[in-house]
Amino acid sequence: MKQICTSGFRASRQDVKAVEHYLLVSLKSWSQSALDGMINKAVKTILKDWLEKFKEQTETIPANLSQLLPAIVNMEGFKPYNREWSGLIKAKRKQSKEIEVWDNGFEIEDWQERALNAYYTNYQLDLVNLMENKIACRKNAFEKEHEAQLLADPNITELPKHQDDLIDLITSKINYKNRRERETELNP
Amino acid sequence: MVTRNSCNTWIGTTVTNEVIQPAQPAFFSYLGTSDNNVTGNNIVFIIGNTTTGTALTEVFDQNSDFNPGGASGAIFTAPVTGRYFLEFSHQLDQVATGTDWRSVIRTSNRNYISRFDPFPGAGLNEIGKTVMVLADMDAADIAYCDVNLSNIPGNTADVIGGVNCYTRFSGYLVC
Repeated sequence: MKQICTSGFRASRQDVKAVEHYLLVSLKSWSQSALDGMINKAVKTILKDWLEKFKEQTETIPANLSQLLPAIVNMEGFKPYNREWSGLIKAKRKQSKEIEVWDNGFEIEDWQERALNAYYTNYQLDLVNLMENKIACRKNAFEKEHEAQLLADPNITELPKHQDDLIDLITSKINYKNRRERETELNP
Repeated sequence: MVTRNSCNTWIGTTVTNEVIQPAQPAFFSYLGTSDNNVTGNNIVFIIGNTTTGTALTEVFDQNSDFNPGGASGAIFTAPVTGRYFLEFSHQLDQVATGTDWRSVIRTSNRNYISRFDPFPGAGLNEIGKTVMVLADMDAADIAYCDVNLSNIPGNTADVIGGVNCYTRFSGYLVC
């Protein structure tokens, strides 16, 4: 087993509020499922592309991934993919990133890390970028959703200029509820 | 027109002019054998959960974004931010009149629920339901499905599997 991403990921208060408007799970839990998806993609792609070639080179084929994956990655002629996630965006921030959301990082098996290293150029950086992209997407969605409401409200005379100000304005309302609170209200 | 790099062809045409997209995220899976006695007394049964049921049978997964089963169920992970068409169909047995029957496609951003409460049917052996949605997903968001029956004294309801794909989960990137 190996502990990864131990340097953590910090988010601002507004980042967390915007994400919690949509997610039932914590940012760390979301990141864990993203990491699981990265591992799944790396393993499946490597098996799809290389298992037949591996069979040609060896007599015995291990039936468990913890042995099979490292053996394929070590085989003669295997080429790393050097993939990166593309099309990711960065969040706009006015406030500092003061909340640690990846306490202690994540634990993965050694063979899973072999798969990640064989498939991605820098999987830890990719996970950071995916987290950043998730926050950016949710902040943009929050802005779009609530700006439309504010524009329809005759009592509002001015829209907040920055996303973070809009998030603070909406989430500080006395009747505001994030997704977890809304779900709890529906299914007590 | 052929769009490709050294590893993949993303968009191509055949000699008979069909346009193909061999790397476009798309998956289809089904439940190969029935999961019996899995819900009824308000138990959420996650499709493809190998702790409480069986993994789905994967027919295709074009971009390696789908995990057909595990402790968290059958999970699709969005490889890119976009709009994804998702479909969850399932056939159940032992659904009694008065049952509260919820079927859900869960994505990171929201749930898509189809619900009978109370289920009006009487004397039915097997009945199916489909949930379909065009879902907005951010890169690395996940999607999975579950079914929850309540108002039955015990967990006696079955999720029907088989080669005719009574219970299935599929999806693809639309735009």
